[in-house]
Amino acid sequence: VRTAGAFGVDVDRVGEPERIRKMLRRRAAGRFPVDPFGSDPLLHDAVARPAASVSRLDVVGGERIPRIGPVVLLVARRRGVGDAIAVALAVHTAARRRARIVGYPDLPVLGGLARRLGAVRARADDLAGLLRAGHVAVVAKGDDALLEGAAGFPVIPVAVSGVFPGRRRVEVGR
Amino acid sequence: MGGQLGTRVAQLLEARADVDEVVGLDAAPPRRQLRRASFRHLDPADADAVAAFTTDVAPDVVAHLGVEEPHGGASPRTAAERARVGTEAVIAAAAATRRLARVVVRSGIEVYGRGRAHPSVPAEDAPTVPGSPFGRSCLHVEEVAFALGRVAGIPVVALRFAPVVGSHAPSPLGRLLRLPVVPVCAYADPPFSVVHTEDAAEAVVAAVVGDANGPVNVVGVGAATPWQAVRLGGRVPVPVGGPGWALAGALTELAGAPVPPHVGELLRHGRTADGSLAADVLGLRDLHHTQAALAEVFEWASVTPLRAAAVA
Repeated sequence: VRTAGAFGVDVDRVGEPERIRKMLRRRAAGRFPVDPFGSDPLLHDAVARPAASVSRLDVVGGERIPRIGPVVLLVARRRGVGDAIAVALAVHTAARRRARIVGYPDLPVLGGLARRLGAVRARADDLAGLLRAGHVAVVAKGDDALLEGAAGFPVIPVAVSGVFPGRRRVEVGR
Repeated sequence: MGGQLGTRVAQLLEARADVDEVVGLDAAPPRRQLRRASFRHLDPADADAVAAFTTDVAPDVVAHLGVEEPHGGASPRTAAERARVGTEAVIAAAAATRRLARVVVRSGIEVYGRGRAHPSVPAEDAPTVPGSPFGRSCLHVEEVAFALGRVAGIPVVALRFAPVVGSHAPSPLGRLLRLPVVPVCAYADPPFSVVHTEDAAEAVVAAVVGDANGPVNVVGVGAATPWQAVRLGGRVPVPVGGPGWALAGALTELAGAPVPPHVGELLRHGRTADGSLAADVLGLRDLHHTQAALAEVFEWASVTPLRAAAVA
């Protein structure tokens, strides 16, 4: 499992918050980690931390998310990106890991931003590469062709109920 | 053996007690002092001379590193010609002597191609569909080497390097990043990885003395984006899009840093690969981080002229 290694920043586990001025200065100088999938783990933290604190999420069975190593969290309901984000935030609060959402819009700016925040393309070989690198993958709209990439890795089903501005419940299965 | 990589590999091989003799050929002389290696000044594109020399030497192992990037040390046409002719001549002649036990060739992760239809972080089993002349050149070298290896029944290792950079290695990417103002893609900031010259040389040595077989990616740890790489060197990134690339290419060429197609592909679509196999089959660990290797590229830029140093 290759999780650590980017200038002392663990690319898999959520780190300590940083002062905004210091962070902006480092960013302007290009001093921040990037992983081969294009994710920027510190930017992910900076977005996920406030998002998790304002979104009303009830996480049931969060202790069943592994604290280390590859795992696929498969969302049963097929409602798209809102559910995937809810599960990613649940992983942030319950397991203190940076979840990687599988599938992002193939658009110039939005796609690049999603990739920075940790999303990867919905391709079986990219999913397999992500899991080989030991990350948590959140699959919300997975078909059989995509899930071939998860062969040999643990898959945990997740149920999401409720709709975005309202209260949502994320239940982690076994 | 004339390039930065070849010279360093020769030095590392010289230092090993289990290597009896090191013999090299290249169009350029070695860049550092070699102690017991011998060197023949030959143009790799001269197939007959290369074949005659190789037959004469009758090597046990061939490490073929003559796959230069366009604008690395030679013009695109010369580099491609040397790679094409040199590979066939050296490996075929070496195989004909019947002493050959192992072939190592230099290739690049450019063989995977980039973009929508390609995996983001390809492993060695990903399809090879290069999208640039250098990628096709690498793939051709691999194909020739694997075909000759199959006929001769010997193991062939193709080292697919990420762009090789270092403070003294001439590379089109390094030269571009050292410009004061660097073009970057306006609407994407894709990740790319590089490998440090020293790690690349160690990979070649590990492949020569080890028992690996088949293609192996050799990629530095982590990644960087073009925008970030430019800022790491304190340079100014200029967003460029669409037809602007033609103008940017012309301007950088005037400034002495032409952008060959594979570097343009890197700037627009990124370039990484899964390098985990190298740790297992070549025993390569603790490779330079991509951002650390890039930081070294910029260290060379501030060469102090002797006179200014004397005054200061």
